[in-house]
Amino acid sequence: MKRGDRWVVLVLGLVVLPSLVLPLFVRGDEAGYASITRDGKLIERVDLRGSALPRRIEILGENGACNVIQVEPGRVRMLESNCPEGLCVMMGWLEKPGDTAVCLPHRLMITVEGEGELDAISR
Amino acid sequence: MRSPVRFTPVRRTVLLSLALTLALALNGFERLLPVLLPGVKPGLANVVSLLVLLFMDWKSAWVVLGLRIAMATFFFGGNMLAFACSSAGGVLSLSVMVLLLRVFGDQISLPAVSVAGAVSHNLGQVMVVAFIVRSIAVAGYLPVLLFSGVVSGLAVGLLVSWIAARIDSHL
Repeated sequence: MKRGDRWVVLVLGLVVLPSLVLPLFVRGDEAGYASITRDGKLIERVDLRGSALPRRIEILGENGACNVIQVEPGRVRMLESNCPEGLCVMMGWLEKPGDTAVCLPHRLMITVEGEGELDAISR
Repeated sequence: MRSPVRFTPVRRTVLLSLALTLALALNGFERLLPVLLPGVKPGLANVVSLLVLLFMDWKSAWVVLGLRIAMATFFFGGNMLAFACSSAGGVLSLSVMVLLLRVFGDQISLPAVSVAGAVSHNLGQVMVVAFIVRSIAVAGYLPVLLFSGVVSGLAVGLLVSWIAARIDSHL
């Protein structure tokens, strides 16, 4: 391995390893809430705890943007989107705190939060 | 770093046009492949960037990169957001690769340069997405992107090494 290679491996290790290991500590295991935001502004905070009723949320935006979000106890997903690539739908079910699905064309994001985090945010 | 080949102006123009065409074709080909995970791509066009960097100069590599992103958006379609994402990824990736080759020259191998480029490409993309949705939460997706960056970067780097050796034996 050449001198430059070692530097690349070192820096990569410093960047990649924490991003792999940190989530294991930071993440709780239970999904508490899901926040739905557009442009960073909260549209709705959904309860995902055991008592939550399964439901679908339709979110309409400008220029005919339409996203359907499916909520079940403990998990949430982007069910449908009329954006061109549909990457948000491909993210599948979001089950753990920290899981996100982004619909970039509609600037929409779903983020799962742990059970305790609501207090921290509203405080 | 290997000394760039001295091309006549006409040859240079022709070769750069071919490089741009190849980069565009690879980019278009990639769009036909099924997407396994959002944001995960092989990054084949980086083969061209690296070859231009190696056999020509960094300015040419910037020209090919800029035109490729602009023309890919124009030809294959894509909104401003996708354009912003590829631009940020491309600029960061090429900057890192140019810097590494300048600093280390012969003392770095191509797969290492390529991996660094791929990973910075993904970092740039995540930064743009985080900016657009105004949330850092998307960083939770980084492990997937970084891992795929290392794998595809290695593959591209090995491919470039092989092609570079081939070209060398013909020069």
